[in-house]
Amino acid sequence: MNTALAQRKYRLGLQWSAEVGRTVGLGALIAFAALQLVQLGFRLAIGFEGDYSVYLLRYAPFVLTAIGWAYLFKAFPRAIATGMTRKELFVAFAVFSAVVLAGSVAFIELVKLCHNLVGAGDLGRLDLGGAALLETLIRTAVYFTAGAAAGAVMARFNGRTLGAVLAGVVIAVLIFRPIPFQLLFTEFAEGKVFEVEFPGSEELLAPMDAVLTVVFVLIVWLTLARAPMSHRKA
Amino acid sequence: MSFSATLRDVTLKYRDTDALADVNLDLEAGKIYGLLGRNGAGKTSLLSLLAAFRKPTGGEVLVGGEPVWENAGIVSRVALIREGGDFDDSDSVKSTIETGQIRPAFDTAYALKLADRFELPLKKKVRELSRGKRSILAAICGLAARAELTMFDEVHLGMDAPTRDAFYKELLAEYMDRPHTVILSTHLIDEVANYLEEVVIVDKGRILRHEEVEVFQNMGATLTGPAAAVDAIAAGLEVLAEQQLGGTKSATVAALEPGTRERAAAAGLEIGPVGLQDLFIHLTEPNRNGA
Repeated sequence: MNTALAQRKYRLGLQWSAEVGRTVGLGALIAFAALQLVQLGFRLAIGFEGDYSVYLLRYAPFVLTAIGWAYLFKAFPRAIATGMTRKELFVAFAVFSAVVLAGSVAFIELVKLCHNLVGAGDLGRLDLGGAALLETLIRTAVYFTAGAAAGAVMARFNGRTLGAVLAGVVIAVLIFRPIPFQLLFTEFAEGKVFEVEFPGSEELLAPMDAVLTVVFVLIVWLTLARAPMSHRKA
Repeated sequence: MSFSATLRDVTLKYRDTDALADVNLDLEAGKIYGLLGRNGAGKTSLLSLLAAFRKPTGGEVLVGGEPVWENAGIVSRVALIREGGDFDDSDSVKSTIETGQIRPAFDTAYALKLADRFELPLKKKVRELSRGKRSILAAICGLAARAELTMFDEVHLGMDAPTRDAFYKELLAEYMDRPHTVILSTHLIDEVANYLEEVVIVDKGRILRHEEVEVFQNMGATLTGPAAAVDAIAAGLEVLAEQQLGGTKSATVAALEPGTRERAAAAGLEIGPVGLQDLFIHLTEPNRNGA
């Protein structure tokens, strides 16, 4: 196998990463910088003390889900049609995932750092962003891989209804994942029935998200490892 | 180097239906093959196996002597171009062409040259192309793949006659310049007959015939001459097609009995080769027993 062939999976993963960096990544940085500038203006003009960066953290994971979904859904037919193996595609996507997750965690940490620097107090709900670094990584990974799993089942069923329904199930599992877990761990106390907190508590979510990430990765592999390349006639 | 292709006892099932059943086929490297079959005969399924688009339910698919499934060294040099192309409709024509660069041997300059020659608008989205232009884009991607095994599955659909002619000529020029294995799956049989070296006929998921074109052409004959003489000679033979203009008649017969050629010549009839399409229709006739 020549070098170009051996390296192409890594090149493709980095190419996708660069594409996302140029579009979504740059857009997020510009949005964050603009927000900071506007807040700085308000701080100087009227003594504003808040920080709306929390909204970036709240919605960033769903952007990751969308990226995971879109890239895998499009990449599968494109890769097979241009003579790649499914294993090569998987490696390319792993490289892409690693870079996107590293970038996302860096962005989230940047938001937190700036927030602490301006001393705006509590960031608000951190459930979607994660409090510690490892937790942030796990949280971003579960959202990204859920998107990839949804994209994989849609690619497997060529975008047909069954694929869309299964993708919906994957996303539903992601969004509502704390509920059954909370039900298991909620204590009976003082005559109360189950108390369901949504989203769930940090301590319970992180380990569960780590397990779910592995499950979503397995779904991607098991769905596409032998998947036929369907044909949508023009 | 061009690739041979081998199928050994290959079966492909779609749920309970056999798309291909116990298929055995050997295609030598460096030839142009025609893959013929009625709708649903299994042509696309067969090509999909050769390109590793699908995994067979049973049996072995070898390309270049190696198993093709999940073999990067082989699939990177195999191109299957299907009707309409496997494109992302939201991509531009230019980026669709550039996607081909995943293949190490892809010739982008050649693809862009062909795009210019066939007047493909590079900035347009694929979804905005007409069916004909989309087919041209697919054909260009196939030619520029510079693969060792290139398969075109009904890729000409939507192309007008001059464009099809230009595509066949380009295909032949590329083949002469860089010998490789080509499989053309088509329903426009007579249009490509002159380009083919061997023909494989698939029928109901099985290989019905695999012969050199000349063998097919010698399986029958076209008798042309005075209507009465043609009728006399053709009597008792299996007539595949007939045409009459005034007193002159042409009859295509499936097989000539010993001595028929001599009698036809003595009767002043012209004896020509049988049209591949007529023979194909005859061989795949649903009511025909055996092959």
